Amino acid sequence: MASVTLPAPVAPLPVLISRPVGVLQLGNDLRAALVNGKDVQAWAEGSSGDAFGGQAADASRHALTRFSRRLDVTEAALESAVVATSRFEDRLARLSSQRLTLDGDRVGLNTALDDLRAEVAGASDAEVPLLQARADRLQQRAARLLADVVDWATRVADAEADFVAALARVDTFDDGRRAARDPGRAEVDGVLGRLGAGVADPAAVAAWWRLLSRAERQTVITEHPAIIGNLPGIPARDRDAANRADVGADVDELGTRVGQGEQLTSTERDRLANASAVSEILDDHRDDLDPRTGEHLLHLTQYQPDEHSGDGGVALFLGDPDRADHVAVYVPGTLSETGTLDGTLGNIDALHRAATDAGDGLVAVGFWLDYDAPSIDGLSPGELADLGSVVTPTEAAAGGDDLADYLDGLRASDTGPPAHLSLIGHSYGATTSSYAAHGGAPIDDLVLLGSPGAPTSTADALTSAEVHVGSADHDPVTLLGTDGPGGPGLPGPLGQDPAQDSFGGRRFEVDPGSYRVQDLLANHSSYFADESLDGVTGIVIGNDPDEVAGRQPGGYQTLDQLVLGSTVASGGEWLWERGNDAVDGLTGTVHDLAEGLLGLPYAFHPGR
Amino acid sequence: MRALIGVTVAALLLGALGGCSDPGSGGTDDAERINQLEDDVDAARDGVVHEIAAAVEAPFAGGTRRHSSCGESYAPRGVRIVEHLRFDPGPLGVEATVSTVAEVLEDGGWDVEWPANPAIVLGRLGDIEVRAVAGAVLQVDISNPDCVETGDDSARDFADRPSSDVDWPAGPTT
Repeated sequence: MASVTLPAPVAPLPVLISRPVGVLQLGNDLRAALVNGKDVQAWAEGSSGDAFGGQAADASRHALTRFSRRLDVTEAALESAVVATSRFEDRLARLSSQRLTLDGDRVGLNTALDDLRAEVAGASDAEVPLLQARADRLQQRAARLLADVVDWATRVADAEADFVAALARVDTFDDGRRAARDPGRAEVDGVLGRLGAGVADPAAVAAWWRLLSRAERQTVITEHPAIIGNLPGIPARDRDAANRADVGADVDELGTRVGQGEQLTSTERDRLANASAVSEILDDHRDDLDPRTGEHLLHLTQYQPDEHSGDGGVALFLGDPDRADHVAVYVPGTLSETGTLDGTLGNIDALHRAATDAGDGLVAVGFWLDYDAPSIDGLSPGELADLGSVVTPTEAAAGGDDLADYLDGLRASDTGPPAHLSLIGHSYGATTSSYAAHGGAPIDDLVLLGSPGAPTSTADALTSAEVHVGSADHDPVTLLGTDGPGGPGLPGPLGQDPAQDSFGGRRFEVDPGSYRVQDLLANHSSYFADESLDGVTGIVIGNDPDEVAGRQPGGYQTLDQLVLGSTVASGGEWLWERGNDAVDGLTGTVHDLAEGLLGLPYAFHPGR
Repeated sequence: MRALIGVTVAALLLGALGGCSDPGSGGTDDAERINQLEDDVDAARDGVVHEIAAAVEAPFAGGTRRHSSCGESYAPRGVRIVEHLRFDPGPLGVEATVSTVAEVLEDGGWDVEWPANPAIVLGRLGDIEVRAVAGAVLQVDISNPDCVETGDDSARDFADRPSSDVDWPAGPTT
């Protein structure tokens, strides 16, 4: 057997003991505590002691001022800890990513060594020089790799030591006092002043943010989490940090007050309910990590718990939209609100998996629900009016403007080559998305699923983006835009059916759905499965699905034909049972909903 | 004609808003289907996923089981489980981890699918899918990608269940 000196295989790299996700969680907890502390400090500074008189008022003011100063010392210490945690988290994410690369090199090298060893075993003496030369090159590769590994391990140790030292610098009250007096301590008003009127321009916001120091960013995040968390142009990771801090502070503060038996106001109850719902989502996804960096996969990019008559506004991403190659934003429709996101989360999860599996670059898939989607939480007049808004495009138009701003923000905070950006609307969310596109949202593709109508009669008039349409033949909602008050084929109350051939969108194949009347609404909620999901996935990663024919006049079942036909086909049994329920308990409400607020029969064929 | 459509639409709305279940399903059948699904997910975790973790020498780091319905709140259609498991990196690189996972799945009788992304491998056995994603960490999902259909009430009740942490006893349990 030939004799060749081979280098030893390179051993596995050490595992990162400090995990990015753990440090991120620490940072979130610190920020939430800091937000609560600043709220208390603001209260203390705003309390004048007017409830008292004379010496009592003076004493009260003095005590509150002293309390406020002591709080400021604590806050200064926490600010330093937050900055150190943020820096450590970034370093760990980079180190985690570098470990992945080095480990790939190591596996490649060891595989090459195994191959060479096998060749040596069957080689003749004449082949030895050539094989030894290859072994020497592998030896050099191994030496370089080992040096890189040592360098990497040193940087890991340095990062950990720096973090420990930074925390040790604010370990005592005196340390905090020094931090509070530090002339370099970020001052919020000055930082915000540099943005000025640029706050309305996402590109200006992004540029402003890039120029801030880490300490300035963290200070603004904890001083104004509700602003930074919802400001278009701020990177998704920082919006996420701000919103997680805000959610944590809301749950802590309001939950504590409830625990102490305090009666919350209606607005506070809504805020707590929305904060708890979002907190649950964050907790459910705490183990979902970015496979490249080990950081959280979920980014909370919008958190407006008081908006939309208490329904709240929320948006999030699976993946980082600022670093992804393909970004998709899904807009859900009627009956969607912060507390009912189960189906929406399932949809974006399915799409994120499918698009990631396709392996065509990094993918971020999110949803945006920061508009007043028609919904109902009871049968009060206000809630009925909220649901009644489903037959007018008012909320869709208003939401479309905000959605366009949100998308402008994603473009502004994007890093690297511009991402391929898809906007996907479902049901009333499709109408909202159409308005956003019509308003100039900077998207590449618009996907309308189960759309009840679009504001223009053609795709070209709607947007310069490519318009794709998923419309199941047995989805009653998609037929609302086909037979409006003006007659068959004319727009419905929410606009034009985009699946019409004359609209000029690219209709792709979806399952037509069951032809049983009791399944019609299920047909409307089945666009994130089977061939429909395949089609949407293809669009998101830039591979357009095959086009199918659009609806031609007379070539499809109208809404009344579908309802009646499917009722007959399913024997009328289900309808009979529902009808009895309705008559027994809610006849008046039925008539109000169907005839009055919703006006749906009018939408089918008025005057019949 | 108009009255009939009005009643139909009202009935559809009431069904959606009132949370009425589809009379064609529900009760014992739903409970059996849901129990079977949970048993299947448990069996996958305690069996093949434990074997995967052992084969790639990746220590368990955490996991969550999420319960959801398949559709929207007004038409939930059925139930879905996603159990997400996270592991610290083992000594194998991404490529070797994925191929080892595939071998374990195949040995266990799972149908293996290779999506275009080389860091991901899928295994399918009956209603259950195991999806492994290798990278800075190894993440394994056990789920039923195709909806297990139930009555709407059952689906809503199931989706209302809180998420739960995953128990991970040391070593394969089957």
